[in-house]
Amino acid sequence: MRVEVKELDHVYNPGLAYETKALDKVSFTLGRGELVCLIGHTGSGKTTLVQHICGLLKPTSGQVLADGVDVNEKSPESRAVRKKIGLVFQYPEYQLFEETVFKDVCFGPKNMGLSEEECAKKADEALRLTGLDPEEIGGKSPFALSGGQKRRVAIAGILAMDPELLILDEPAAGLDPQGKRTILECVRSIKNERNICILLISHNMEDVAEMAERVLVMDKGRLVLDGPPGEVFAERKALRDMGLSAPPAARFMELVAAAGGPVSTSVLTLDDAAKEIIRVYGKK
Amino acid sequence: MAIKDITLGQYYPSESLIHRLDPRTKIIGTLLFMVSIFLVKSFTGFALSSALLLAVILLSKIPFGYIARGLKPVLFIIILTFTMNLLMTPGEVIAKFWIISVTREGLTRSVLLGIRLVLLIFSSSILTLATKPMSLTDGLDSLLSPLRKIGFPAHEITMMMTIAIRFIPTLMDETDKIMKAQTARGADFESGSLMQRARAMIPLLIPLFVSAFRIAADLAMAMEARCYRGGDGRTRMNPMRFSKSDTAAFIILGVYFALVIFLRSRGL
Repeated sequence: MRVEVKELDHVYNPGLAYETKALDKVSFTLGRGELVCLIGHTGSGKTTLVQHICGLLKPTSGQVLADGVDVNEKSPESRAVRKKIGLVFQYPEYQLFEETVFKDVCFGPKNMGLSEEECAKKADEALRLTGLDPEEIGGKSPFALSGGQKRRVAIAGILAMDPELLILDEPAAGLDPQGKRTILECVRSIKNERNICILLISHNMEDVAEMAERVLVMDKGRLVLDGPPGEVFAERKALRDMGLSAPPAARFMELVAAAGGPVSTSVLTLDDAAKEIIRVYGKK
Repeated sequence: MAIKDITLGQYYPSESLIHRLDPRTKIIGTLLFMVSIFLVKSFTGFALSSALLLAVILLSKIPFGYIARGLKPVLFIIILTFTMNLLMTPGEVIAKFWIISVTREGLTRSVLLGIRLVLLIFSSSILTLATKPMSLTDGLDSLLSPLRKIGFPAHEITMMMTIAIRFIPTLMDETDKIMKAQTARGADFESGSLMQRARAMIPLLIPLFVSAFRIAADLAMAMEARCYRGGDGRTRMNPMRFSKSDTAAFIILGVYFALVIFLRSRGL
């Protein structure tokens, strides 16, 4: 699926004392099989932007085209294309409601009008893809699971709808390190197995540096940077002015360089940092 | 959503004289003003009441359109009572079409009634627009506290109101979020028969209840952790104090009320 966001503007509460411009002429394109990370300070318009991509919010001006169809129309084509875009909200575990995990995951496919067997098949696949065993927890109440498991069930609920574009809004927020790692591994395996486009909102620069093939940076409703992680994180000063930081590995290498070490500062991940240190200091 | 149309309970932030008045002054003032509206029986009297209200609106710096928005939900009732009174009052006929006749008494009565209703809504809207919900309940707490002597749980009731008011926006946000999340999963809240739509509410209501209970439990724990145990001996972070402008407000109200009673006794 190819998504084009064109000159998107959004104003909250127009005409009231609380009027705020949340999006300001945002334009970009998402292609097939990309893993894109969207970063930005709190209130920079990330969540507003992704809600537009799914057609949940109407733009004040501009449009979102998915495979050439405007997602904001009432036509059947638009509705069909919206079904192919899956959005996992922040803290998605709060949307679970069914008696069993299995039924909850089936909610999406059922709304798409699939038969019982097809729903069951999709739910089974989706749960496995998120690293959960359908036989073990499928019959449990979703409210009886741990935080990380609940979140994976919620993600499975979206995956069961077979999205061609999967948007995850801070999927690892508020989880312990173990839960966080499982969620990110789960995102990677979705990417590998389904080869769909994934748009990931994250606040953790370490995760972004490790996962992203492309990084979008938002600030005050505008899309300010768009490019591969290496390029985006090279803009240290611009990022700092927006209240964002470079990944920890990059900051560490900067400190080493500042202390006189002849290391490259264009390193982003811990693995590369280790390699760079070995390269410079290891063999003597 | 229709809930957004109601101005009642929506604070309009501003730094006006009316905003700065003590909430108790504003509550008593609004109540007195409402009583006065029912005492007034003539156009002269309503001119006086409207003049006072207009002065308050101007002083409060709240845009007039914002206050008028509060009329929208009750517009139908106003029009209905207006028409009823216009057509059903017996008296001297001044206009007649087919079987419908309008009398002079009916016209006077319905216009007065219309003005009365509009003034009532406007005055209560100003109270809630110019007073933070929290100071409103604080004011009520303090005004009702003498009733504690006869066993009326004034503090508990106002605390419940405070909590309820405080969590309306939170629950509205929560509703909005869950609604969007379920819409993203293909839930349809807008079409279908009444039965289908009622069933479609389940994916919204269950998570909302779960959230509400979670919020309530968290709040109860936070209150206990701060040793909350009811109203006795509890002090305030921002104690309420009457200022000079409150005295002035009471004097103006007193003069206004005396004038209203004077006009009424003269049959004006």
